[in-house]
Amino acid sequence: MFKLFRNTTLQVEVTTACNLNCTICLRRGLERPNKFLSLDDFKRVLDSGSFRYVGLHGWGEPLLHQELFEMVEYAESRGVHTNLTTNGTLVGERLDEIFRSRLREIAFGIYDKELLSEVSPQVEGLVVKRKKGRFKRPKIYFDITIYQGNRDQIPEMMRFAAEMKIDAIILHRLFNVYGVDSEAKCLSEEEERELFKEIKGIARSLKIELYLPERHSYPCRIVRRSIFVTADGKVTPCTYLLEDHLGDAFEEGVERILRSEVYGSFVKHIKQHPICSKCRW
Amino acid sequence: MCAPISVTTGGATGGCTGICRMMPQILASLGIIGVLMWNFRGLLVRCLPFSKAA
Repeated sequence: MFKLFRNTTLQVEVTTACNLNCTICLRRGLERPNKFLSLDDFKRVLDSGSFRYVGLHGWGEPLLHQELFEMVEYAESRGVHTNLTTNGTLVGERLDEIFRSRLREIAFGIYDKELLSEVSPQVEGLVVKRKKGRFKRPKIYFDITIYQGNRDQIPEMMRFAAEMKIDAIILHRLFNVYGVDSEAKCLSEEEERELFKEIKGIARSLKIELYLPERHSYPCRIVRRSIFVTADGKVTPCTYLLEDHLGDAFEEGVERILRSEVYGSFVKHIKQHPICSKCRW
Repeated sequence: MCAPISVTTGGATGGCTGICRMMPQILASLGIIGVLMWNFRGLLVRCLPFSKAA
């Protein structure tokens, strides 16, 4: 029974390439060549385990992948619910494919007002097309990273989301254990409490669904609920633990890795892990 | 822009919006009912109409 409720999400990094260089993104500190996961490899990885959801993004912009929506169609045909997070800049170019592929959920990864104003025509285009076509999918979200630099901008971003008829707003904490940008700092617990109190009220008045970060626990919800596969097939417990190879998804398959001693040992010792012990995500 | 939406929302917004979201509670309730029935099986058997006929 325990198995039914764990690792229900497979997260696949379809590409390591990106067309932006966001200040808060871990990708800035990574020295990885641009790589695209092939459709055949994606199918092999997806079929190597039983998952309820597949998230099609990692440290790259998924909409740069030409076969992305073939992947979505394949996963949906297998009964796996698809979602992805994008920087939003290429949404307008791939609108028809988004609707044709039956993608279930799309989130615009946003961290400040400048990026939001840059992608707002893309957001509007997607919302308008969904309304005109009377499509039920995809659900559209804003996925906002909260940190010191944008704390005061969040209410405004929420109002914009409500105006745009976005389905929900997801907030998550900044991950800055690797110190990607020395100026990007997390909110203190006190600041976070104050912010959450304020924005819960705003969400109620705007009648918009809001998902706040959970209290951090071990093993964290990322490890409890998902498993990550990089564009070159390496399996890691989380997107932030690129050096923690648990195995090769192409050769061993994901389900086998989830049952392995290596994975079990990682979960058992997660509190002592040098990164996980500092992570508040 | 890191964890999948289904992780951040606990799958609440994606596919499972109906009774399957209650699956842990349903399974736990069934388990408790099963244990109670096993515990009071003697009493239950005596109370059943067909057991009186025998």
